[in-house]
Amino acid sequence: MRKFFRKQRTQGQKLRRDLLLLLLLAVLGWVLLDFPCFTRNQAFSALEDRNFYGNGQVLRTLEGNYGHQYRITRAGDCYAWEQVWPVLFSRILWQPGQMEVISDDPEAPLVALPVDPDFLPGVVAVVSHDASIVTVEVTYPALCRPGGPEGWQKVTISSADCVNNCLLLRAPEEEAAQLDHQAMDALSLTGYDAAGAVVWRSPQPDWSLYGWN
Amino acid sequence: MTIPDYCAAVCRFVRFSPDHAAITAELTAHLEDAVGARESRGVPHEQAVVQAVDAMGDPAEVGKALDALHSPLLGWVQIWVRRVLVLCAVLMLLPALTGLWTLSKTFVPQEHPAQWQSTQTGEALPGLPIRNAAKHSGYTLSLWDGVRDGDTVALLVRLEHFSPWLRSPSEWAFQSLTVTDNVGSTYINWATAQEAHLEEFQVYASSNGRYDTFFSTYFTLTVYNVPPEADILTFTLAQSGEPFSFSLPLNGGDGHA
Repeated sequence: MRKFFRKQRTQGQKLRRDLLLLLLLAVLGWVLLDFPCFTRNQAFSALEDRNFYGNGQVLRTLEGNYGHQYRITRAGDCYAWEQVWPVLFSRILWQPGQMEVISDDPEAPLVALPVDPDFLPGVVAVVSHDASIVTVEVTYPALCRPGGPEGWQKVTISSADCVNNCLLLRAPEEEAAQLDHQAMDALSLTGYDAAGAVVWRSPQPDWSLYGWN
Repeated sequence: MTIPDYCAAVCRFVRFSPDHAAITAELTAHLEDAVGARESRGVPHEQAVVQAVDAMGDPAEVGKALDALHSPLLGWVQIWVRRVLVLCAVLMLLPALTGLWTLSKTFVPQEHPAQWQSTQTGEALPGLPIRNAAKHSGYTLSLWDGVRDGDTVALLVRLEHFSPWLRSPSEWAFQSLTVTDNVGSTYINWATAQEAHLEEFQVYASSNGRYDTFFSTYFTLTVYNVPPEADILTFTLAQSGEPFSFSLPLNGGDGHA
């Protein structure tokens, strides 16, 4: 009977062989998927390293379409808008995406961060340096609003959604597409205190000089 | 009972049928050895077979013992896992070969960095390369080559890393480099010029990828309007919580930050 116990060792060997094959396939898949990261935080960390950004303090996090993850960080005198995405929608493997860094302007109480409207349409992120500002209003030019008259119009959105001095503003869903790259470059910011009084207003952008008011 | 009959009787008690052939082979070999031993002692073949089979014991008992060793659940799981793995391997083979071929090419640069200088005009800067001029975020920065052409200095910078996650460092970070010299000039980088809507800039980073490999990336940094009396250019990347800098001695010397 002792001879037959060899069979168990053979089964164990088969199991080890299968596990080795599985491991090889996993490594091959990892290489073919262009070396994705194993966690979301690791992907954010790799993204920061690739941009020589150091380790940023996370101010806000939010999720976009298709499981894309975003976060706003601060490192030194800079703010960054970071993006990572899941590989094959799995949320197991992550790829570092894009990152935009802007230098802080300590003289401006409100600083708009460069959110890419292609990946997160209709969202504006604003950092506040003034604790008395509780509500932020963003105005931008939009062309052909749905349901509205034809031509350029001013659109205003506001928010009091403030965490870590970082405010997120969202355009109404049907108008999110209007908040494109052109509009993002022409934002006009206004900060209000709790009583509703204007605390600060950004210099008027060029577009506001052409008969809008 | 013959040897095949005995094996068949044993296998009737083993539920995991894929192992029947192996069990039969093992039992047959064992019984044939026993028969041979008896024949060598002068026992006739038929009698030797009967004795060997009898010595082996009750086929039901042997079969139940073997059944306990050959679990059908584990056996079928193994078989199906192996089938799925083989299918995956077959399905992945073509893209894997294509991907590995593409990956293998990243280990060899399209052009050797030594050829960089032939693409530039001007006089070669002395004292280069300066290896390990700075370290940041897992990268080791070396000043690989450089030329000076009048008031323009072009520098080939090499970034090395050992992590696959650090491939393709951002070119845009280098557009924010603050460059100063030892005579007090500060040069306007491309990012600052863009932000301030200036038409002219004095520092520009570019990468053509021809010298890049899996573990190294090259950038060309060009600084314009460098006065003749400037001996050292200092590059600082301050767009992060951990700024780093490195120096380029235009007349030779140590460029470590």
